[in-house]
Amino acid sequence: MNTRPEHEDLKPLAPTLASIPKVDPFVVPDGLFERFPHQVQARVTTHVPGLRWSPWVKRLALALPVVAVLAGAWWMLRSTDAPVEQVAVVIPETTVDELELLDDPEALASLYASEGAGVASANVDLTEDELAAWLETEQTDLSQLITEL
Amino acid sequence: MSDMSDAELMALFRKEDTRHYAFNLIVRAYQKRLYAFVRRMVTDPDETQDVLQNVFLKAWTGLERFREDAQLYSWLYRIAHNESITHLKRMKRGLFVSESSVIERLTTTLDSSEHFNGDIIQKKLQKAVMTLPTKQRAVFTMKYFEEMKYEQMSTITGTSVGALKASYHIAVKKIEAHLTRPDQTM
Repeated sequence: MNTRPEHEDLKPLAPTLASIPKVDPFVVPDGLFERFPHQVQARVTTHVPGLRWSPWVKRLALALPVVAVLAGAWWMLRSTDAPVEQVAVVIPETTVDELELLDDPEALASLYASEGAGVASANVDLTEDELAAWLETEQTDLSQLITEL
Repeated sequence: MSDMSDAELMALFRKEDTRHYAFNLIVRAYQKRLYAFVRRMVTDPDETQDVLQNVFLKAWTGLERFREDAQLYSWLYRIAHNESITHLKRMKRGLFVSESSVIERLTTTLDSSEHFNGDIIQKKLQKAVMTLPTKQRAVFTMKYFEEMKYEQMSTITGTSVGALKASYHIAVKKIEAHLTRPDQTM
């Protein structure tokens, strides 16, 4: 260890540090450097080298989970494009009857005919004053209505 | 200490029948210098021995792949540097405490150790070094105590020369401030 009393290069920056002699204040345990090589040799001979993976195996080990996650994500996205599975819905019998009725062209035609007849046969009895009040409420242009009719 | 060159030691190491002998020579050749560095980083003598054993164990398993164009000492020093930093990090993780608590523990070790024979100013300097962040402490130790060249430090730490110079400059200023602080107890 260097025992130089001063370090000229440090003086301007750190005068106190530069004035401290460089010594090694750490005491080495007795006989350490005689024992130590034997201790190392003992550990070396009992040391079983761990399984060393090649860099490619390490890369593969890292890549596999990523691929698995990507594959899972792709499968999930793909399955959302597929037809949605039918969900069991309980439909009331009356609704089923009505739907069956609408499915029959003749029944549907008769329904429209009866609705049309219903509208046509609606009896609306209004006095002239009531009619005028209704037109005023609706803000209907009477002359335009007459032209359209 | 062996008078053999690194190339001669490595040639012996590569032969199956002289491998252990060569490794023993390598340990004997570099143990003191590496011990000094690890001890300054870790402080505790028992922990220093553990870290140094791990250093040579790693050297044993990695020496086969050692490129002979590099210096064996730099290569071993690099392992010692990394192992010391790993040890200090593990200590921090193990204690689940802050950097300051680790520093406190290291300082206590220094105070109670019968293996420290420095005077008051030496103890104060060591305590100042311990207040530095781990990597900066390594930089300061290499430059100040070991008087290593920045280029060699760069090889060991994997940090640029410019960054090392800046780190050392900051470390010196911090230590100077610590040493001149009047309220510090020793």
